[in-house]
Amino acid sequence: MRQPLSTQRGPRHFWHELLATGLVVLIAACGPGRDELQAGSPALLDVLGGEATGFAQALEPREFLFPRDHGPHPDYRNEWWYVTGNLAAADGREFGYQLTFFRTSLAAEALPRSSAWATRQAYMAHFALGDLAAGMFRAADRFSRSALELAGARARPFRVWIDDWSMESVEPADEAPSGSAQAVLPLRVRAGAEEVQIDLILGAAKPVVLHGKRGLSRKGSRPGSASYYYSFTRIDTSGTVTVGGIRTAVEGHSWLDREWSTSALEPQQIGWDWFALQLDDGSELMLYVMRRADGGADGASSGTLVAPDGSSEYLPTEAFSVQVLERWVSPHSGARYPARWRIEVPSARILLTVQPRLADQEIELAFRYWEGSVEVAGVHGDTRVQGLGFVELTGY
Amino acid sequence: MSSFPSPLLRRASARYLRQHPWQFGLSILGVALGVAVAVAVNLATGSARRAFELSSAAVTGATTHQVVAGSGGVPEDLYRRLRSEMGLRAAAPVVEGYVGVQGHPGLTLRLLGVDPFAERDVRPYFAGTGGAARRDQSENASGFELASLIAVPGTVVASASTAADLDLVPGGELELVVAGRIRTVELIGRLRSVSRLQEAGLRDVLLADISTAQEILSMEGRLTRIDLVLPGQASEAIVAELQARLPDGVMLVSAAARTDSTIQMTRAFRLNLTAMSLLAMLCGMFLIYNTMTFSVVQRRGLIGALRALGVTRGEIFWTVLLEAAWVGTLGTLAGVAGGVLLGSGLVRLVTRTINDLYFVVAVRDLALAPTSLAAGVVLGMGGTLLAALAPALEATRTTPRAAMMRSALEGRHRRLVPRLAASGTAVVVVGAAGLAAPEAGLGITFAALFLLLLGFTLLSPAATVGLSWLLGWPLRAALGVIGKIAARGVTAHLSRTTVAVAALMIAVSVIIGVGVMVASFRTTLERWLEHTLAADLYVSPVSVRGDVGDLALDEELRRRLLENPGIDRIQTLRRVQVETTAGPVRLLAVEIEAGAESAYRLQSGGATAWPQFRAGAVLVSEPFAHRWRVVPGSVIDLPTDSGWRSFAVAGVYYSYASDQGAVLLSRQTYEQHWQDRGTSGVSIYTRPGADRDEVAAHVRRLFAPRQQVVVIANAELREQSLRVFDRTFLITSVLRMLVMVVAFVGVLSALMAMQLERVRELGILRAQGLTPGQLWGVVTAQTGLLGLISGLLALPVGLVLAWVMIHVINKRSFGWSLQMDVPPEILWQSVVVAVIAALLAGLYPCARMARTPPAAALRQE
Repeated sequence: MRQPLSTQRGPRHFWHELLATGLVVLIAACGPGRDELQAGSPALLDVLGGEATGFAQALEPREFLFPRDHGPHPDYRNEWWYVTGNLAAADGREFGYQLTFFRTSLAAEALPRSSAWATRQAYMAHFALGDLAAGMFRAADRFSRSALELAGARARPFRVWIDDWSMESVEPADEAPSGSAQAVLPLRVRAGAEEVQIDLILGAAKPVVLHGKRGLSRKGSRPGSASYYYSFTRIDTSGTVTVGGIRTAVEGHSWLDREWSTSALEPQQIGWDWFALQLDDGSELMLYVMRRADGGADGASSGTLVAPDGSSEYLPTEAFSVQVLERWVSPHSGARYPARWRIEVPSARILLTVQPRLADQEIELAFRYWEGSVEVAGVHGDTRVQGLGFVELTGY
Repeated sequence: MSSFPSPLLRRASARYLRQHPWQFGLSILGVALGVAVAVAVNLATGSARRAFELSSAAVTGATTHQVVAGSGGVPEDLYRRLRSEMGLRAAAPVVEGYVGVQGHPGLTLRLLGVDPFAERDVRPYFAGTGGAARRDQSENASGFELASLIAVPGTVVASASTAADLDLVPGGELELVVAGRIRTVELIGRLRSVSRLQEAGLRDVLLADISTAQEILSMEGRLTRIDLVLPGQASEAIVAELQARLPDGVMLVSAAARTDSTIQMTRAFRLNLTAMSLLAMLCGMFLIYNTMTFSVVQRRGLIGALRALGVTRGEIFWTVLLEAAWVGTLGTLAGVAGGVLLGSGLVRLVTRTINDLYFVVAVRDLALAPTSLAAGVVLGMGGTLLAALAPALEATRTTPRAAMMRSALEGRHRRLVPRLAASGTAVVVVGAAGLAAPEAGLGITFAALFLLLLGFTLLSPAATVGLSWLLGWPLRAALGVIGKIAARGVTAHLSRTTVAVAALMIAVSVIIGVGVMVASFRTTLERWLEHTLAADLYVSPVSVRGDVGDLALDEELRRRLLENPGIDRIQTLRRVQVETTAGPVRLLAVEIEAGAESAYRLQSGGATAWPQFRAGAVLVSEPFAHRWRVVPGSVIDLPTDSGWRSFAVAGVYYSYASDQGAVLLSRQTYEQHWQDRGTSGVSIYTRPGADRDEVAAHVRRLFAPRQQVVVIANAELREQSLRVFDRTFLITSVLRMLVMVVAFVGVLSALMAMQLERVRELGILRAQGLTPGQLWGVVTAQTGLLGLISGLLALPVGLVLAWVMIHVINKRSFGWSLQMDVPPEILWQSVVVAVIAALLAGLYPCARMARTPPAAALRQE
C-alpha cells in the first residue's frame, strides 16, 4: 500500500488523489464542483463515482501468473511499479533512489474510438534521488496518457515507461519458463531530472513475495478495500548515478513493489506509514500502518517478514508495533513527520530502531509526502542486525 | 505671463462666447464629432486587435515556437519523437478547428483540442499556478470530470461566459457543424480559475481532449501544430538545429511572429479606416478655423478699441486661443464620450469585416484603451488649437486703426487670394509628388493625400471668386437685383465665404471620392465575378468562418456526381493553407482544361504563362504579388510535403477574392508535391437543356446522408459575394456619412454665422424697402450659390481623391487593380447635397432677419 496521499482529511478515495494529482494540469481550470457534476452528468458518476462501478476489484486471492502479472491490469483502477533502493559508490558516497510508475484507469470500459490519442489509461511517474552525504535531494514527476507510445506498460517484453523514464527487461523474457517471476530480470531502470540521472541494472533477486493472504493485501474493512500485492524484496543493483554531470558507478540493493486494486481509503483512514527494510542477516521486513483520524492504527495494518531463503510470514496488526520516537518539522511545508521509530515484532524476536539517513526527503510535487532512505539497527533473534530501507509517510 | 489675458479681457471673451451660443455650440459639436469618429474607429480597431491578441495569448500560453506543416497538418507521431527522442518536454500537441453551432447561426467556435497531460509547461493557467494547485488540494476534488474529458468521447469544457453565451450548463448538449456534418458534444464543465483576461481570450473557445478534437474535426492521425516552449536563451542556432531534425514539410516558426503576421494582415484595413476617421477630424478643424476666424472678424471693432486702450498683441492672441481651448475642451470631452458610444456600434462592423476577410475573432465589448482615449484628446485639443492659430495671429495683426475698418480686412483677403492659390498649387505639387513616389509606404501615401486636400483648400478661394463671377450672370438674369446682391455678397465677404466653401468642398469631395472608390471596386468585382464564375453550379461542404481549407467533399460521393445525366463535366478546386515562416499562404489547386483559361484573366505574364503553368509553374493573384513583391519570373518557395520547393511564377492574375492573395497551381502540380487528394469544391457545368434546379437537388440528395453541402447557382454565388462586399464596405459608408455630418455642421455654422453677421447690412436693405420675402430671396440665393460653388469645386477634387484612392491607396494597401467607374448619380447627388446643406444653413438667419424690425437691426452697433 504505497499510494501517496494528500493532506486532505475525510472520505477520500485515493484514486481521486491520483487522478487529481495526475491530472493537475487542467483541474484548476475545469471546475464545476461535485454537485454541479452530479446534476449534470449522472452517467459520469457511474463511471467515476465512489463505488468503483465497472472496475474489477481485489476480492479473492488470485493465481499470479508471470510474466503476465508484471504487465498492466487495465480493468483495475490503480496500479504501480514502485522501485526504491539504497546505493553506494566505491568512494563511500551513498544514494537513495525511488522511481515509481502509477497507472490509473480513467474509465471502466474501453470505448471504440478512432483517434489514436483516445485512451482510458493515464500514467504518472515519480523520481527522487538523495545524495545522502551531500544533503542533496531532488524529486520530479511526469504525466502522460497511454497513447502513441508516449507512456504505457506491457508484460512481454516487460516495459513500463513515460517518455524516456523507463523500467524494462534488458533481455526480453520471451523464452523464460512460464511462471518464473524472475524471468523479468534483469531490469534496466532509467530516469532523470535536470542535474540528476540514474541508469541502473536490477539483476539477481530473491524470489517473489506475495503479501497478505496469498497476495491479497487487505487495506480496510470493506470487501473491495484490498489490493493484489507482490514484491521483489531484494534485488542486486548496479549502474550509475549522475549528479551535476558527474557520473558515479554505484552498487546496492533495490526493492520492487507491484500492486493493483480498485480500492480506496476508508472514511476513518487518513494516511499510512510504510516500511521496507532490508537487514544484513538476509531477511526483509515490510510493514504498513494505516493511520486513523483519531491517531490510532487501523486494524487493516499488516506486514510481511521475509526470511533469507525467501520464505515469508504474514504479520497481522497485532503481530507488531511501531512507536514514533522523534519527529521532524518540514521547513518547506510545516508538516510534522515522524523521524525515528522503534519497531517490534515479538514473535520473530525483532527489535529495531529506524531513522532517516537524511531528514529532508520530503517530496512536494503535485502532492506532498515523505519518502526516503532510512537506516536500521537492532536485533533479530539472537543476532545484532543493521540494515537499510525505505519509508513512506503520507497524510501528514 | 504678462501677455496672458487679464481678467477683464477674459470676461469680455466669456461674454462674447455667451452671446453667440449657436456659433460656438456648433463648433463644439464639430470638434466633438470629429474626435468621436476618430476615437470610435481607433477603439473599434483596437478592440478587435486586442481581442485577437488576448485569444492568441490565452491559446498559445507560454508557447515560444510552433511546429507546423502544410495542408495536411503535422503527423502526430512527430510529437512522440519530439518528446521521447529529442527530449523536448515542454511540448504540447494541438488539434484545432472552427466549428459552427446548430441553432446559433453566424456563431463560430474555436474547438481547441489539447493533451491535458502536456499542458503544464505550455498553458499553465489551465492548471492554476503549480504551487497553488499543490497546496490547495481540496480544490482539486473535481478532477474527475477531467477523466471524462479524456476518456469519454464527445466531451468539451468552455469558459463560463462562453457557456452562458450558448445557454449551456454542464450536462447540456451542443450540436456542432463541422464540414457539413453534425457532431453532438456534451459540455461537462466550465473552465474556472482563469484570469479575467484569459476568460476574455477563451471566449468562443471549446476545449476538448485532443482525441475528441481529432474525432470531431476528422483529423485522426494529424495535429494542427505542436506548441513548444523553448528556453529564453534559445538562440537561432538551437532553433536551426531543431528545424534541421524535423522531417520534410514540417516547420518550426516563432509563435510571436505568427501572431504578428496575422495581425499584420489587417494593417492596411485599419490604416484605411484611421485615415477616413481623420478626414472627419479635418472637417472639424475647418469648422474651428471658420468659427475662430469669424469671431475675430466680428470683433474687429472691439479688438481695435482694446488695442487702442493698450491691450497688447500677446493678450489678444491668448484670448483667442483660450476661447478656442474652451471649444476644444468641451468638444473633446463630448467627442471622447461620443467616440466610446459610437465605437460600440463600429466595433461590430469592424469585427464582421475582419471575420469576413481575415480571421475569426470574437469581440463582444469595446476595450477602452487609454491610449485611444488620450489620442482623441490630443487630436481634439491639438486640432482645435492648430486651427485657431491662424485666426489668433490674424487678430494680433489688427492695428487699432485698421481694425475699425471692415473694408481693410476684406481688401487684404482679396489680395491674399492669388498668394493662397500660388501656395495651394505648390502644396498640390508636393502632395502629388508624394503620391507618385513609387516606394512610398502607406503612411506617406496618406500624408500626401492630406497635402493634396490642403492644396485644393488653398486653391478654393481663387476658384470661388471665379465661379461666383461666372454663376453671378445667370443668377442676375434669373433674380434681378436680388440675384445681384446675392452674387456680389459672395466675393464681398471673402473672409467668411471662402472658409465655408472650402469646408463644404472638402466634405463633399470626400463623399464623392469614397463613393466613386466603392462603386468602382464593386463594379470591378462584379465584372470579375461575371468572368470567373463560368460554371452553372458550385458545390462545397458547409463551412464556417475561419475555415482555412482542409474541408473536403466526400470523395466517393464527389466521384458519383458524373452519374447525373444533366451534368456535362465538373472541375475540382482544392483550397489549402500552408505555413511559411512569414505567415500562412493560400494555395488553390485547380483543374483547368485547355481553352478554359480565360476564367483567369492575367495582369501580367503574357502568352507563355499558361504553358508554364501546365508545366509546374504557379500563378499568383494580384494581392499576393503585391504583398510578397513577386513578378512573373520570380521564384517562390513553398513548404511541400517533401520539404521546401521552389516554384517559378509564370504570371499574375486578377483576383478580388481576398486581400491576402493566393497561389494558383494546377491540380497535377499540387498532387506532385502534396499528398492531399481532397477536393474543397466542385464547379458543375450542366448539359445544354438540363434543368439546373433538378441537378442541384440531385446533388443535395446525393450528399445528404453523409455531408451537408452548399449547392449554389452561378447567379446566387455572385450575389452572395456582392453581399459580403457590401457588408465589408458598410463601415466605409458609415464613416462617409459621419464625415458628411461633420461637414454639414461646419457649413451650417459658417453660413449661419456669416448671415447673422450681416444683420446690419441686411437691415439697411430692409430699410431701403426690401420685403421679408425678398430678404429670404437674397439670403437663400447667396447660401445656395455658396453650396453650388462648393459642390462644383468638389467634383474635380472628389474625382482626384477617388483616383488616388483607387489607383494609389488601394494598390498600395491591397495590391488590387480597380477600374475607375464614375456613376453619374454620385456626382449630381453630391452637388445637390451641398446645395441643400447650404440652403438649410440659411434658414435660421433668414427667419431671424425677417422677424427683426429694420430699425432694431440697424441699432445694433
